Amino acid sequence: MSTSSAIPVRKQSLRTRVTAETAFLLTAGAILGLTGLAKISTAFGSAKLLATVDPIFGIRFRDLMQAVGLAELAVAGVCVFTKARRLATILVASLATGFLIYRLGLSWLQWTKPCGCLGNLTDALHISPHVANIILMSVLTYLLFASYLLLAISALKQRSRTA
Amino acid sequence: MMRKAYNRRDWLNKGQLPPAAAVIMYKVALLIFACSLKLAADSGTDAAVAYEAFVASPPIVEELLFEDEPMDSDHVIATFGPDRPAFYLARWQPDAFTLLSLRGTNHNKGESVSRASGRVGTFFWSYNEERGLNIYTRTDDSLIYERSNGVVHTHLADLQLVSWIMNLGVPAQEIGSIRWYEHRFKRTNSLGSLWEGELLFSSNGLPAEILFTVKDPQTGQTFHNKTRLGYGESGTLPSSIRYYTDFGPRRGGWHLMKSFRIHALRTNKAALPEEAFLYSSLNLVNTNTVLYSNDARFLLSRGMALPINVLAAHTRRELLLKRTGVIVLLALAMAVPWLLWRLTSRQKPPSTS
Repeated sequence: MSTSSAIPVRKQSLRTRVTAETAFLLTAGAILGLTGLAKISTAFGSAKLLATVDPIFGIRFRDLMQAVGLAELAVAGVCVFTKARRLATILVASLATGFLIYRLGLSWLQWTKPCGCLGNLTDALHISPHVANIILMSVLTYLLFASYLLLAISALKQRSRTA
Repeated sequence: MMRKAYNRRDWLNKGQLPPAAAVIMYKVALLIFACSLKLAADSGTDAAVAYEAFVASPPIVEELLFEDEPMDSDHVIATFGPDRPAFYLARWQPDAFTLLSLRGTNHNKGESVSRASGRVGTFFWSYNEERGLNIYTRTDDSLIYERSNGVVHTHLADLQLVSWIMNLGVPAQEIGSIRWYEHRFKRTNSLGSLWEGELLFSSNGLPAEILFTVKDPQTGQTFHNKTRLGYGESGTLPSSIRYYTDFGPRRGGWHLMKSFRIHALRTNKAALPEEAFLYSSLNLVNTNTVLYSNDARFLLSRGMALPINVLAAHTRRELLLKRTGVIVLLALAMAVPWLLWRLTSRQKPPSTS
């Protein structure tokens, strides 16, 4: 009896984790897909900022936005269209970490201009760069904490299973 | 009598004048020709005097509309010319100055002003349609901070541009600083270069060219430049200014560096009011105003005092180190989730026994 009562509890826990993971990956995929598309569409525009050189990588913002936009779309594709949940979570965590370090780096180099991560989307949505920056920081925080939390839970689960 | 009468009638018949009348007419023609030559010479002299007087002691300029041309009228591209025609409207009097950068020759509307700067005494202002207005008042204490003051630097750059026109083709000299002596000048400018200039005249006596010799005291090099002046139909002052530099025979000789065209010049005998040099009369589009405080260490923006973070610019070495540091950190940080995954996935599977 004791064995049979333990099985439903384990199943319930697993279902909750999978549901949260799925929800996170779907939202992360949507966010990254949107920002990736915004970046790529902006990269083909004629904004003055695109011709300037990125202070960290030393390449033009146009090239950087194209590269990062493609990377975001690729990760969004993994999040939404594949069943490799662990891989998708790791990719999101890695990308979000990269964004965080990049922003900290910009701050370290005293780059004061607003980040053009949303590109032309800010104009289309009629939101100011300041508001866009707050939204992006919130999104970044969400992606970062949620992905690391899921990875940590997954690691703890695996450790408890091996123990 | 009969013969004389016959002869007179003969001249008349032949449609000719009597010899005495012809001589008189010839003398009158000579007189008119001599007078016209004298007048031409006088007008040439007047033009030279007017030119030198304008450069040495410019009048109060109420309106100076000029164009920085990408190429001259012969379609020769100016090396340091703009990509497209740039129109400017300047106003000047001693200790007061305004320059508006316009989208066209229509300067009645604030929307046509893309950039501007001005000064009245110790009050400086600069305008950019994207960033708005910057205002600064100079004091004895604030002078030492002006090396990093963007408002003052914008004003100085604009003043230098206008000095090119106000000095009627003599560049890199302060307005009203040139003193002519027998159509020549010699002076050391604020950058320490020794400039010598010689004014040459055309056949009708108008100032046509200025030949410059510039000596750089630091390198000891000597450069040769010249300005060609063009005139409108009835102008005694030039309406076009073309500036050339001699690159030597191996590099193609004289190259056109800048080409300006003066569209309108209106002077005034009486001093203009201070309001004429202020931004308030321009009806500018972007009125976001940043007020530089007197000690230039605080910005007063929308009623709030914000400290200016005055930091020295990065050296190339510092920048390289920081960029490398950020890139390495970025690569390491992005690898952290992968490392976590690898560490957790390498755990031994639980024994089934």
